[in-house]
Amino acid sequence: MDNPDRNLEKKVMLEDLLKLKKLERPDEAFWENFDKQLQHKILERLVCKPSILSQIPHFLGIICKPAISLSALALLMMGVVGNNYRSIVYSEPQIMIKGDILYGQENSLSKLASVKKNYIKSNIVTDGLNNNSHSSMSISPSSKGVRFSGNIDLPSLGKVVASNRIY
Amino acid sequence: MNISETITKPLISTSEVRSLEASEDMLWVQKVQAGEVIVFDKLVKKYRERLYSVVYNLTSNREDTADLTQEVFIKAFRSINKFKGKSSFFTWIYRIAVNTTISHLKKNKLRHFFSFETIQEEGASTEVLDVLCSKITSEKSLFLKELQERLNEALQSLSIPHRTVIVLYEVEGLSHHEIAQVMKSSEGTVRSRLHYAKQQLQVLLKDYLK
Repeated sequence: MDNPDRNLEKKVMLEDLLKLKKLERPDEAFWENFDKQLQHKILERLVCKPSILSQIPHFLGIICKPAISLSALALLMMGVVGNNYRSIVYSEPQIMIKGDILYGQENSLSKLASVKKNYIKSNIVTDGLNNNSHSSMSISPSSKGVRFSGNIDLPSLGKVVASNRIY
Repeated sequence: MNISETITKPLISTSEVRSLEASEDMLWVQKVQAGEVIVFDKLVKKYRERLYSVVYNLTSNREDTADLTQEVFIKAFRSINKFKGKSSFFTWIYRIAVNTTISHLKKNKLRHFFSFETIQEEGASTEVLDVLCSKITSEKSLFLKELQERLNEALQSLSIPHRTVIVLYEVEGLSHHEIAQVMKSSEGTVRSRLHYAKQQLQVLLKDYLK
């Protein structure tokens, strides 16, 4: 029998501790079940060789992976472009100008986008609006009125009202 | 005095045992290759505990271990005709076990939980337990549970290559050369990984190394 006092003197090494891992093992009953399961699995694999049809999902997976990546890329691009597009067309605030001054200019305005922009910059938007923020301004050619929208920095709603004097 | 020194040396060396095993394995493999499929059972019975131990100590999960060990034998059975005997069957099947386990660990690196085997208190290693238990004041079963947890946690904290080397060398008793063959790396790499892994474990298990 082991003397506890002698055991206290003994030094436990790392190697000894790791050897204890060998004690962690299943009992005999486990191996019976293990063998049965293994035989069953081997037989199953021998009998049921993978058919071509069963391989289809695997190959689809290979094909679909780049397709999914491309779709994700396309969505991302849409997001980026859409965001820019939104800043041009849908950015608020939108100001509708349906004045006599512009009505007569409609045909000539719809010819050239840059002319439209410059025209609005120089003739319509003057008081109270920050000219630097008009770069994304656009005009809808289909509309009778001149509609411009963009990242317009309106200091207050009063300024928008003030711009109505050009009607 | 170290406990390792008190364990008596075996009469036959490990390399001699391996050599005998290799020739017996080769005979069985040839029979399986010739169509005597039933002989494969002998190989299963011979290696199932050892391979189970390798997989278990790499995963620390008993449920995964049973499935993975079976998977290893299925893979070996399916490709036994490709085995030409350039290496021993022993290193060949250990390589399958290690590779299967490593790919499982990589695939499930986010799903990580332990489930431990029961400790079978018998054999030479119980002497270590006696020494450890003589130094504690708590109940033995509680201490063993805690020790098991700490050992497994410490092993799992190592990287996969370091864990593999320490399990194969310290737990399974493979030589540097055999581990190098199993892991397809140089003996130098095995030695340096072993050294680093031991250093890490010394720190993690310092409470028990007194």
